[in-house]
Amino acid sequence: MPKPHDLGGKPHFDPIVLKTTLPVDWELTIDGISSLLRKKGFYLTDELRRYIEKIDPEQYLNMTYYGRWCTAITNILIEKQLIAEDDIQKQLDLL
Amino acid sequence: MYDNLEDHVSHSHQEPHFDSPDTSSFEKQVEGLKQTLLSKGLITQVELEEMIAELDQRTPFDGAQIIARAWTERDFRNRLIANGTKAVSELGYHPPDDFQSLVVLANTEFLHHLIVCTLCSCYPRWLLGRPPDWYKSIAYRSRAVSDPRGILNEFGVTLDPNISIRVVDSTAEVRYMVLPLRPSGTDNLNMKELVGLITRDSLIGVGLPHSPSVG
Repeated sequence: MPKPHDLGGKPHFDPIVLKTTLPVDWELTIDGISSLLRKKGFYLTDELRRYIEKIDPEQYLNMTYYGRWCTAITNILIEKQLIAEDDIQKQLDLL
Repeated sequence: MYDNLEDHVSHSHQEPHFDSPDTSSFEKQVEGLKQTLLSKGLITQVELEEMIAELDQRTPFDGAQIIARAWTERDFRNRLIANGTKAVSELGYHPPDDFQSLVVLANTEFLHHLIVCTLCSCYPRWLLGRPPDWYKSIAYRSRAVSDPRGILNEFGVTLDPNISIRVVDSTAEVRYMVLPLRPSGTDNLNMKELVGLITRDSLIGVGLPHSPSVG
C-alpha cells in the first residue's frame, strides 16, 4: 500500500500557500476534542497519528487536515469500543 | 523507496487542491461525534469549552518571550539549549503530556535551522499555538527536506550560501523550536521591544526576526 502521509522529499512542486485561515467552528471543536481525549488518557499522540496514517490513501489526499483528525479519532474510539459504529449516526438523527 | 505515492503527488497540478477539499460532511460528522461523546459521558460540554479556550490562548507570543529571555540571559540560554523542556518549565510552560519534550535549536552565523513535520503536523503547540496552514500542507511537508533554500525563498528569506541549513523533522514525542540569532543593533532594547522583533516564522526557521528599524 502506498503511504501518502510519508511526504518527506516527495516531488511536489506547488508553491507554499502563505495565507493561513483561522479554524472554523467544527475545526476548533475537533481540535479541542482531540486534546481533551488525550488529556483524559483515552489515547496517545502516537495513536492518533497511527490512525491518521491508516486512512485510505485516496481519501487521505482528498481530506482536509481536521477531516483526517475526525476520521482517525472516530476509528480509535470505535476500535477501543468506547463508542459503537452507529452511535454517531444515531446522534445525528436526533438533531 | 518512494513507490506509489508519486502517482498521487506528481500529478497534483492536474487535481483540484489537495489541501482544500470539500469539508461540509465533516462539519456534520464532528457534531455527531461530539454529541456521542457527551451522551456517553466521556467528555462534558464545559470540559470541551475550557480546552478550546486553553488552546486559543497559546500564541507565538509565548515562544517569543522565551527567546527574548535567552537573548538577554546567557545562563538561561545555556539551560534552554541543554534541556528545552526543563528550561521552559521555569517560565511556567509545560508540555501537554509526559511523553513530549522540547528541543531548542540555536542558529549561528554558519548554521540555520528549519523545522518540519514530514509525517503530519507535530509542532510545539504549547509554545506557539496551533500550526499555520502551510506547516500542515503537502507542499511544505514534501519540499522542506529536499529544497529548504527554495522554501525559504518562498517565505522571502535568502540566506548567504555559506550558511548551512539543517532541517529537523518533528515527531509525536520531540517538538522543536528555533532560537534565532539576535539581530544586531538591539543592545539597548528592553525585553518587550525584543519580543516585538520575534516572529512566529523565525521560531520555525522559515523567517528571521525583524531588525530594530523594521520592528
